[in-house]
Amino acid sequence: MTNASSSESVDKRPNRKRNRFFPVLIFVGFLLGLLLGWLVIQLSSDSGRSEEPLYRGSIIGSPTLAADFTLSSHPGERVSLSDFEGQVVLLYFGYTYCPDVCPASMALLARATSDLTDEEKKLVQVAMITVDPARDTEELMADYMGHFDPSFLGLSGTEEEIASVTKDYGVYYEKQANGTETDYLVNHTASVFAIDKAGYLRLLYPFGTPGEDITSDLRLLISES
Amino acid sequence: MKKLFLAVLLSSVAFGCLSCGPAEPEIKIGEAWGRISPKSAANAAFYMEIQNDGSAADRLIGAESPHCGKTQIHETRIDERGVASMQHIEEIDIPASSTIMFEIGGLHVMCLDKQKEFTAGIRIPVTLVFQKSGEIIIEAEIREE
Repeated sequence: MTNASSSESVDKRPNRKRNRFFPVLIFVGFLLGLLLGWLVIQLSSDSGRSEEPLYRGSIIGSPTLAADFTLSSHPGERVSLSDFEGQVVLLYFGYTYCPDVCPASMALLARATSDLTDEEKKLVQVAMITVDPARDTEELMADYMGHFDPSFLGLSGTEEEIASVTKDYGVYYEKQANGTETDYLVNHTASVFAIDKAGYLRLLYPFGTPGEDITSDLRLLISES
Repeated sequence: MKKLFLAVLLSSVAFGCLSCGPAEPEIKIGEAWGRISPKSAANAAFYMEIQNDGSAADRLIGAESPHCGKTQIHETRIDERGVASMQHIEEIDIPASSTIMFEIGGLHVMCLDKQKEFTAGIRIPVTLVFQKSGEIIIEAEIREE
């Protein structure tokens, strides 16, 4: 209606112009408000309180407290999982007679933790619980683990203690039938368990997981409050 | 034309078969290595690539090393539950024109009852025994991996 005289009408009809743009301004303001709100939500979720989709290991849905255990690290020296509260624990079940999977796993964890800074590394404890307590004495375990990294812990115990802790973690282990009294192989679950600083079982790493994945996840677990 | 064609065919077959003799395997062992292993570890594993460039298959029927009380071929298997087991393999086929990988989590030459500590940089002699190709001696380089 006002097309023909729009340029001339700017001064004469200021109210009309303001009215035309007012809904636009409201709409733009609404969009800005949405954007601001979204930014606020994004920034607050970056502080790590919401779901973390960035983990590379197998995430354990609805994590529960990892079962506590008390085993022997050296003759007469008892160690419990609860001793490591405040640290991330990487737990593996293996045995020293194992030539392939267990050394490979320990070498992998040594590499994965060596990529951390000294400060980060202090907050990580790697431990191997033997599934062969008959042959794996505390001394043997300590020497074995120490060769991969001086901070790594070897744990042994009585047959009952080992049976109990493996059951708690759903770890399968069995002596192979074709061995002798002293020379036998043990089939065992070869996954690495990651327990967070608060003691919750959070992630599982099946055999074959690349070291960088574990390092990456360790950093996330370390940074949790 | 038919005669010419036949002549060309026969001569190309003849030339093509200049290198033909009885089919034979041609074994080459590459990348032989083992991980460092402390005295506390009773056993160790050697990994390598067994390549057969020949036109006939061969069989790896044994292995020996002066630094191992007993040497056997083993295969690691991980099942769907994540349970690792090892099986002693008596003999293994090395088909013609193929490479059989001996690697972590799979086939390996198992060194039982290590007679010495495996430290980085040393080389462990291992004799591989093949059905047709006989004994092939390799040196496995010990490293941290």
